[in-house]
Amino acid sequence: MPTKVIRIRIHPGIGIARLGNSDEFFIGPEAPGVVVNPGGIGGPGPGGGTYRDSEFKLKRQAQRFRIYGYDAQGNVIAELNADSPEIASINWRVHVRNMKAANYAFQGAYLFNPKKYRNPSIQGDAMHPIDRDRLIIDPGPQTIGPNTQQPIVMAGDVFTGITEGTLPGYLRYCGFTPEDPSKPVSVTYKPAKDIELGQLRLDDQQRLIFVPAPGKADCVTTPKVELSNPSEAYNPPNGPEMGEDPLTNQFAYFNVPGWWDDTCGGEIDATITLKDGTVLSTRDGVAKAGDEGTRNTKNGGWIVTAPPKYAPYMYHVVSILDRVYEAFPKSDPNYGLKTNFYRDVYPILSRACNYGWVSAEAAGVDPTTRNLAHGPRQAGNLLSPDNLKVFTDTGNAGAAARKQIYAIMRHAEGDKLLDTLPPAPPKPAPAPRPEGDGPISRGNKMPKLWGTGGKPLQNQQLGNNLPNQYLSLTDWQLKRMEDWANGEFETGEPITPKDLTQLPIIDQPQAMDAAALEPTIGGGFHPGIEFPYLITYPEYFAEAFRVKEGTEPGSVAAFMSSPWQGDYWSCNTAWWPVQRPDIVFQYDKTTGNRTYKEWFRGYGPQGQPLSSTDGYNQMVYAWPKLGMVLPDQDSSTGEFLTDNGEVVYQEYERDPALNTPPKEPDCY
Amino acid sequence: MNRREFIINTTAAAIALMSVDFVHTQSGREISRPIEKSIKAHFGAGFQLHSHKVEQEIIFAVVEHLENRYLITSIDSIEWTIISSSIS
Repeated sequence: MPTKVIRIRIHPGIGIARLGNSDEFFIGPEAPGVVVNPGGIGGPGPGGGTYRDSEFKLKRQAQRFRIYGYDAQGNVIAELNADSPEIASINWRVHVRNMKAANYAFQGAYLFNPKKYRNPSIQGDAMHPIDRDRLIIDPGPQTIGPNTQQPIVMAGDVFTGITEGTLPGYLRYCGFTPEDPSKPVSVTYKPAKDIELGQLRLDDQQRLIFVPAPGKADCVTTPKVELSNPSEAYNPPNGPEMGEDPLTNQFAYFNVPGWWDDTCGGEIDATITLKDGTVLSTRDGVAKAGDEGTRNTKNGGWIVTAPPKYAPYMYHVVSILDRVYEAFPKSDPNYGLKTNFYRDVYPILSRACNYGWVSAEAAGVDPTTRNLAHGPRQAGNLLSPDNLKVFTDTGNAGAAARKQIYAIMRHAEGDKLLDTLPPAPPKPAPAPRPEGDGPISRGNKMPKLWGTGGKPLQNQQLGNNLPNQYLSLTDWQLKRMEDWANGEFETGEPITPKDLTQLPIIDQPQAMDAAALEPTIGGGFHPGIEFPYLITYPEYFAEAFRVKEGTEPGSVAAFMSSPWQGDYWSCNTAWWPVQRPDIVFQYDKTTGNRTYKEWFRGYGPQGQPLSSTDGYNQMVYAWPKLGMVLPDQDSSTGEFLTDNGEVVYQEYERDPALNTPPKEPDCY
Repeated sequence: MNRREFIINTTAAAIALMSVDFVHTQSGREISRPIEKSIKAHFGAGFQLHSHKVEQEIIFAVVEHLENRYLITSIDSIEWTIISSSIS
């Protein structure tokens, strides 16, 4: 078998691992639609698994990488691992970084300005972020092979060689309030040492398991800076200095000075030595194991670590996978096939209904959507048996309903989101700022979620008229919906996800690639939570699922919030509630009645209730304690409870520590 | 059935019979900050304490969020139970 292999590639091409404060981990999905058992017994997760360990800490979600062998025609031949008889050894090489503190300040995808850095007083005259080495956590390339007995911990330092500086007085400080906010505050810096960005492990077949970091984040200054939005307190809505300073304007919480987090991104490579001495590597110029070689972007993989996903059964209506298919349509295995209701349309409808269990607007408990949304008994329950009967009918009986649904779907300004975006960073956005055709006219369309242009209210306050302030499906998703509306579809059958091992070998690489990106957020990118908006630019791909040559480890993930917790808190309404729920429901099985609470609730680090208006800083404390949203299962059959066709979701495994104020109050 | 469950269950039946007007009459009283804090921690800070009363050591309160109202009760001002809701 491997004798025909002339090339090896790593799958997934882009992998996702999710932070958790537990030392325990589980391996994330490896086939589309599969929600993996997180391990443990007696829990509410799939197979009785638990997302928390015995101390109620949140388990980390690891990413496994596999090596597949290809023949000269580009056909996949086999997975290559320690069980392959011809293989003598497998050596993995990984290089990840965290470059957030060194990166450009985030000020919106349409307002990118390469002249505005985070931490501008530190190596602020550098030409590129990669040159700001004091602000980059870089463990350097790490290797793991058959003789490695212990996990390889990848760690590094940040804010090195800096002792003192000044920061804006408008920032919020822990235990210190500036007398005159208009004057800079003197701070001292203490480097953060040995920050773990992740661990490398091998499974029994010597596949790579990338275990993400424990989700730590901190500020290195004294006094410490708290996460906040100074523009809410000083000269609102723009903030001090007419909003020109990204450390104090409306985007300040994306760019908090002195802060680091332990997310990362970077390269995954492997070299296989066969027993006959042949060496196969994902890198070019490797003659023997241990040679550095050079990266071949079409063979090597990429890892990104991201915050947890608290509703693992729910997928966002536009994922990064959809964005990949938008950029590379032929990479979709269903490209060119007739539109199939259960394969192409049903996922969009069911995802919309799932929002009705984590979003007030989608649930119809918000005054603007009351009784008109996706709740089980509401007009927008697209999964009710009556509706499904109509939607699956390929004849004229359901034509009016299908056309009505398609008619309310929003189309991106421009044919694609990319069409309106400025040039790919680090090229500067053109001036004057791009203008859309007005967000108000698009507000009554679906999905009713915010977009890459940012929240309409925020744009209104700032005087911006940016395009795509609401999320739109991709052009390819809309084409499927249009086919369905026009009756140009086949019904198909409900799809039952299969584990990777149930799939033929030729389908496994694609399944790995898709499974990693399916549970992600493909918009709105403001800036993004697993991937920033850069993922929409073809300039950042070598091909579908492969990050382009020259992309520095850590440089893509660096465009997201620094630290991520401030953004994660602020996206508390209609952004991506299947990742971080806005609200959670309690369901009365007898009556079918629902009541809800806010997901972000409990007592914060200083003993005050977690805030719904200013919880940026509290999220640093609360994130590993918040609840999971999972299907309600019949304890005897394991079947999901449904109400009028919708799966019933409730909150589980919320850490009871949130129910009481902490014994030792702190800033975070 | 322990004491706590007994109180909750028996008062649930009683509260269910209360008219909304009865609860409204309590709204003029001074809001209890500890009760308000507890409710916000339990339900979320966006929930507003509309009115409350204490009767036989049991706290009854009406809270509001996005124009939705819950009638809730507690015996310890820590754990709260929803007795009725305006959401159908």
